[in-house]
Amino acid sequence: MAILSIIIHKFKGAIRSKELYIYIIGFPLIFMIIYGSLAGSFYSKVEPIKIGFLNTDTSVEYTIGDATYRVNYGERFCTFLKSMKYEDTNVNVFNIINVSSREEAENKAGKLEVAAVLETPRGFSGNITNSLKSITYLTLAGILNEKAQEAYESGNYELAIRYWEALAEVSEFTNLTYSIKIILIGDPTYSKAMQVYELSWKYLVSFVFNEAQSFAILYADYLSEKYNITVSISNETVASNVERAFQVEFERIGGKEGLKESFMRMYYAVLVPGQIIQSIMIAAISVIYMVQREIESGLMERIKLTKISSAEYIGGILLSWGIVALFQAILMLAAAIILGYVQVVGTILHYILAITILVMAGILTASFSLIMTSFVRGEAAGSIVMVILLTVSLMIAGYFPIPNPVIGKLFGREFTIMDIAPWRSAITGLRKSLMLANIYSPVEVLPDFLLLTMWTILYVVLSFVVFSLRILRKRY
Amino acid sequence: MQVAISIRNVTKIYENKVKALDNVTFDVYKGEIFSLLGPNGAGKTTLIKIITGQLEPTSGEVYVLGVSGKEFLRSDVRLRISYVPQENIIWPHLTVEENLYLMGSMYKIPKSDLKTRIRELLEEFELLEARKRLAKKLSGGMKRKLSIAMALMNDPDILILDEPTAGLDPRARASMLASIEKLKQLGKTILLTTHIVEEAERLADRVGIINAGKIIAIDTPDNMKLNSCGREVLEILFEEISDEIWDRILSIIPENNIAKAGDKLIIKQDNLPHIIEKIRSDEVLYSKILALSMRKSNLEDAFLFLTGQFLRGE
Repeated sequence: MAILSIIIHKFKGAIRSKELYIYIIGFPLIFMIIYGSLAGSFYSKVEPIKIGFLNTDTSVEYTIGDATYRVNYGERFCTFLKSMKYEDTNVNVFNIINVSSREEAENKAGKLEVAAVLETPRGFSGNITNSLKSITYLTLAGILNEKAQEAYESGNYELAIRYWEALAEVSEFTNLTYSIKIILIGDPTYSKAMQVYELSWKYLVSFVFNEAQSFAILYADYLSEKYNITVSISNETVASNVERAFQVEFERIGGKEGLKESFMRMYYAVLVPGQIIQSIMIAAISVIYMVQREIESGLMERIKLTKISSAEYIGGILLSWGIVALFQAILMLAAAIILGYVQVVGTILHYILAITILVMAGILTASFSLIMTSFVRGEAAGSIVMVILLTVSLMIAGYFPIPNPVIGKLFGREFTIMDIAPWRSAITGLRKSLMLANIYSPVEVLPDFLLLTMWTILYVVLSFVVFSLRILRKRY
Repeated sequence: MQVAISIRNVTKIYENKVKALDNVTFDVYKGEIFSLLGPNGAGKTTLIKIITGQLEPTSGEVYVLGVSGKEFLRSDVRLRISYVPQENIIWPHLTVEENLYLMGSMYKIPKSDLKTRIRELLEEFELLEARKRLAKKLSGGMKRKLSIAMALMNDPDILILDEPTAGLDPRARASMLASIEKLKQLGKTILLTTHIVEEAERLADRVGIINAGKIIAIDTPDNMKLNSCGREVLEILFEEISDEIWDRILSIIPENNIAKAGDKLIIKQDNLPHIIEKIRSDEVLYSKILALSMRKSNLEDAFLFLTGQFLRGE
């Protein structure tokens, strides 16, 4: 097949050129290493992260014995977050401003006035209350049953019955359903937003632990008084039951890593995909030089004399650069893994998605190059594209915060100003599927994947039309 | 004789108003080597680009194997013609073998035939030993050979070579000329452009002299020489051709029989020994001569007499 031969030979040609290694892989790799090694020093600048807090939760009431309690756990979670300090410092982790509506939240997050907005949704308190009751049941059931057995075996049947009665009362807390959810409104490609995401889950677990401990102690005291029994609980017992209750979420935040590790991981989650996609974008220069060389040397005119069709020729170039992109990414990724920037945590589906995203990013880049080559000739083409792509790649990679207002929704995903640059969806998709695979499921990567597919199809069609008409036209 | 390429009243005026071709008309016959001989800028490459469909003539028409230039690239006739421009058109990061393979794939030659064809071309152009070398690492001569070998992948009936020996050292040039002669033996129709008279004389069945976009003459090399300057010419080199010297020369030889190229005069005349005697008898004239020789005429002389200009060959 002619197209297969073009793909193979163009790929061979690309990987044998020095430019690929020096400009397209070498430089991004050097930058990745430099920025990566500076990450620790960035971390040393501890300062509060400005976030918004939107509480749409409604208060709940619960009774323990004769006492009735009315609480709004959304408010209490906000207060809890305000009290959080960086390790070994007196610096608050968050500088929280209150936000009154989803619209305001999206506006502030979009303009990067805040790193992100945390929302405690309606029903948050109800779910927390149910979780506290469940944790209390898990904590007390074992203790009460053990005490009852001890009393029964020692012949104190009356005491054993009181423990069993207490156990029966706390058993009301079994089979309670709950789903503790907080919403993060922000740009997932913005490193600080991702840091907030990571920290908010971590602090939510801590918050629930604190509340569960208070609730369990309160309830244990109530049972002790009502049934004239002794119930003492330890922090460890509560903690282990919080872990059981939060099993899924706890794993999602990557276990018990420290704040610094969390920060570094979030930093690399921005750095590595950003550099990989940037390197693929810069490969556009190589595509342009390669095609320009074919045009200027007369190869293109000779190719026109052959049997190859425009579709086969263009398709061959696009697919070969898709494979080149994968090749670039594998080299850069290998370096990132060796340097410890990437943890292999995803499922096979995550990696299939990541590979597809990389190939598509390569095809997209090659399509862009063909479009540019169709309009701009000579050395100017390479220089113009270099300036455009470097600027765009720096803007969309999320290395530094740039206002990125949300302008709509597409494929269930927010569509921002930066998303107009088609490689942006490749970066966000790669970030989720490759770097944050323990946080995002493959399904959650799909919106980015679909957006990238849409852009790629659009660019491929455009490149076919423009390049065929302007360069491969088989007539005067 | 069957016509392979027919050029009819072709004029090309570029956007900057430069007239590159002016009413050019001639035919190239099947199986012949036709050489377009002219200095740089004469319009040779423009004409080739029009023949291969890269440029549209301002007026006139070109037919390749009976198909007009407008339809040429879209017809199957394009598969029977190959073109090698002045630059080496190769993929530099592919090996010699891979270059041929890719070009062959583009012609959709079946895989089994492709390997045989590549082998034949490698042997024909003495590239067999270099087949695994990257094209960019080849010498200039080998690159040129590869470029031509690639053009022959489809076994074309017509081969158009634009300055095939440009930039080659003498050894590589000799080897290239030998390769082109082999192609002639295979019955290919070859249209080649050159500004080197020795090449045209050695290779061409017919020569078309082109200057300033106009075809000045078309004939076989021998006829062209004979008709424009005779079998032999007298070449005289002076220290300086002053007005006095020029007047003395004109008193011996009619102006139409003299071509002037700097301080050198080329003289055509039926009885050259008699002219030499006359020059010798003019002591003043004779004393100003640095060198005098009677030699066989060549296409350079023909070009000089036809155009009044010196064809800068190497």
